[in-house]
Amino acid sequence: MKNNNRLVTVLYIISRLSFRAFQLFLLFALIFECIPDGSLGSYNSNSHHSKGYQINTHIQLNIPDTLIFYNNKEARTAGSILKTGDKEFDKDFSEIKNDKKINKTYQINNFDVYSISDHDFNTKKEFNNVEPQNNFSDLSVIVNPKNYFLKGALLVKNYLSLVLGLFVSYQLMRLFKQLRTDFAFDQLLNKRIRNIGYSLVSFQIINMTISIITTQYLSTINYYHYIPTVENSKFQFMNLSTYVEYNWQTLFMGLCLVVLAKLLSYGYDLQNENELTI
Amino acid sequence: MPIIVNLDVMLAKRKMRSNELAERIGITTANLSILKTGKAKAIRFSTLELICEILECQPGDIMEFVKEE
Repeated sequence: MKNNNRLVTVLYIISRLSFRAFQLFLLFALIFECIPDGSLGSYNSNSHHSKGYQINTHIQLNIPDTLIFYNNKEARTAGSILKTGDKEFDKDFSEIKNDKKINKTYQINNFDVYSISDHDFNTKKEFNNVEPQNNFSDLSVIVNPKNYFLKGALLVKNYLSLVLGLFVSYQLMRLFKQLRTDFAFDQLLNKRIRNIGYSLVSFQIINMTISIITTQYLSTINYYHYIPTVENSKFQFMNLSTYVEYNWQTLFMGLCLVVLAKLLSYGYDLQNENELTI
Repeated sequence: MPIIVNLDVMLAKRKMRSNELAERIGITTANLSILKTGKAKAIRFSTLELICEILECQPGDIMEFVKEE
């Protein structure tokens, strides 16, 4: 029991400190929201209603080994083709590369333009330190929508995790405080665990709903590389897309806590019955 | 609860105090009080046997079923 008390005391202190930290974070965030430009002295808040709020996006960067912009006047076809690791695409690439009738412009490692007459196609420049590949990565971008509904949704999403942290740390603080005085089954204890479980589940549902809304409003943004002197030289080298955010671990943990609370409630009933059996 | 415990009536009839009964059964006075006030959820057969033996009565003398309306 002594060890239990020590552990509970440590957990109580941690939860109390985190509750205070969340309180401070939320207070500062709200103060900054009230300031019109979101800056106080030298400090600037990144997420602010005047600047926009962060959303997670996927960024796809397309760095080909070689890119050919071609223009076949006879067949009246034009476009671009990349040399990638894919055999199927590379077959088409070789066909266009070896077709002498087609007017071509080469671009090796993406930002260096060669003409067929100037350079040997197989010779690369020395600075080609970028490997040919498609790079995927997660990226946070700040979005400042003009639509008030979307702005409101992003505002809620931005502060939801802080509110959840505040609520969960408060519930944990009260729970450990109660356990410190009496380490036993209690209905209030079950209620607190159930509250934490439900709050985690609700947080995930709200977060996912807002994420679905933002993906509907913010379509994929494509970035093109364009060389004015070359005909049909439009090439998409990057795109930025939003996605539906969900965290099944948190959802699963929330549901587990709800079940645990029900189990504890049953345990409390058993204990109560045992105590009242004379 | 529809089960009424008439233990105090039986104790008065036998002119016995709660403390004495609790001591002879081997339970605490607090637990006997829970039984007397009807807060108890269950009673062990061993406890019932001892109560009946000490108070020289039948289980029906200390417990009564009253239908709830």
